[in-house]
Amino acid sequence: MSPHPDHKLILALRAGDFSVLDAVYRDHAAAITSWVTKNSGDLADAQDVFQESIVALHQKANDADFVLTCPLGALLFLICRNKWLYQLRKKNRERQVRSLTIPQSEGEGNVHELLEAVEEENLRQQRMRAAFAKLSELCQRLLKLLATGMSGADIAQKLEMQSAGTVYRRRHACGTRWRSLYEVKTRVS
Amino acid sequence: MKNEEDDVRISRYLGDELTNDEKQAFEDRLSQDVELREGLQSRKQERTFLKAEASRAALEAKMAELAGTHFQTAATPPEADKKKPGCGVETSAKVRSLGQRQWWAAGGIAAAVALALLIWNPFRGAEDDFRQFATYEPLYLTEKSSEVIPAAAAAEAAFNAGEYTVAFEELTKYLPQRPEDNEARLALGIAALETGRTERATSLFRKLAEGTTSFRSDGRYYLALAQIETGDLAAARATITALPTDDPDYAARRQKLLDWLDEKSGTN
Repeated sequence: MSPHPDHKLILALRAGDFSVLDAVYRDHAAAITSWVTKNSGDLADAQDVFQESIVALHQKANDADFVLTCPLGALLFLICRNKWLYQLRKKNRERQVRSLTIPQSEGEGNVHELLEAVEEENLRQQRMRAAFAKLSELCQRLLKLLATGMSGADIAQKLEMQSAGTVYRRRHACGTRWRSLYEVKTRVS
Repeated sequence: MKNEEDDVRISRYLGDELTNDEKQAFEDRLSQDVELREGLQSRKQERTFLKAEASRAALEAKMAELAGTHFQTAATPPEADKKKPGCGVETSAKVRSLGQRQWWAAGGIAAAVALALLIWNPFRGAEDDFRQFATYEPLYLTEKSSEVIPAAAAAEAAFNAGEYTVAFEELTKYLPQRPEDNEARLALGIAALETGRTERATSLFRKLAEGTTSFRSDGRYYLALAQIETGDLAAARATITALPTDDPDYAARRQKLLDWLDEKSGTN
């Protein structure tokens, strides 16, 4: 499917240009607040849900292969809705949620597939985050530097390692440790 | 990714550091090698996470700014905000925490300490000929597995503290449990060299030098140092000459060592 015109918002989030959030908040925060507050929540709940959803969207936006093929508002609404349902489920209050009519709009595309992808990324990143916190400071620093696209040689210089080869071998050790911690976390949860 | 060679290859691929031939060979393998493909996919997921985390503080700052306008705690309904944008609403909204990020903010002091420990050269200024070239990197064995191997922590601590007698003993216990760990094998060779076990060191370095792993150049370099230590400068020259002139890790040290050998042969 071809990108939706709103994909430009995803590209902006990927580039760290958060000025686009002015329009996202302006266009969608009120609707989400209205829905949450009509379904057993208050303003603080709405804010939590909205912020967590923006974070989830930002996480997925950093996946270079992710393409938004539906209106951003439709996807954001579903992310928020599921997050709030999850909260209510935790509180055993699901029955209090009124039946919700999701406004369907033309060109909504594969919003449910995208929702699944965003939620999967959100969950994966939560677990990766918990595992990452258990790595040594050196590992964390090295992995962060590699993710910036800096060359192995430059990182070696920055971290005062002998060579790019050393950086990459250290990365292997750190990555292996990170993955094993992540898999333990996944098995537990 | 369990295979270190492939993991290093993926790093070089992602960093666009492979030659055209290497890149072509890598991409050809991707279509057939499931493990390699999964390894690359896993690295992309890590990168997505790390990129998101890198800009998360800025994102949270922006959300905090917007919360004042769109989630104010006053009685004004949000619909009313929409009708009166920028009309001086009180920005009393609570900036709600988004969870744990202590690990991301932490680290300044610990990183500084880690940096101070990065290069360990216990021989700076020592008199022995080979020692001016003997720079050793810290050893990290405990990061490689969530499985606890007591000898790993003990070997790591001893090696990084320059206590090579203890390091040699602990690494000797550790390696049978992790026979594929060439970093530990290299460290064992260094500990052997430092404790006068020159033959053992030579044997360990030679095995690495003649292997096909990413420790091949390390093996050659340290084998040459062991040969210098035994006074066999001709063998050292042959060994160091076998290192490729364009080795990204050792080219400069290769030249420095050859210059030194030239100087020594001139004075003898």
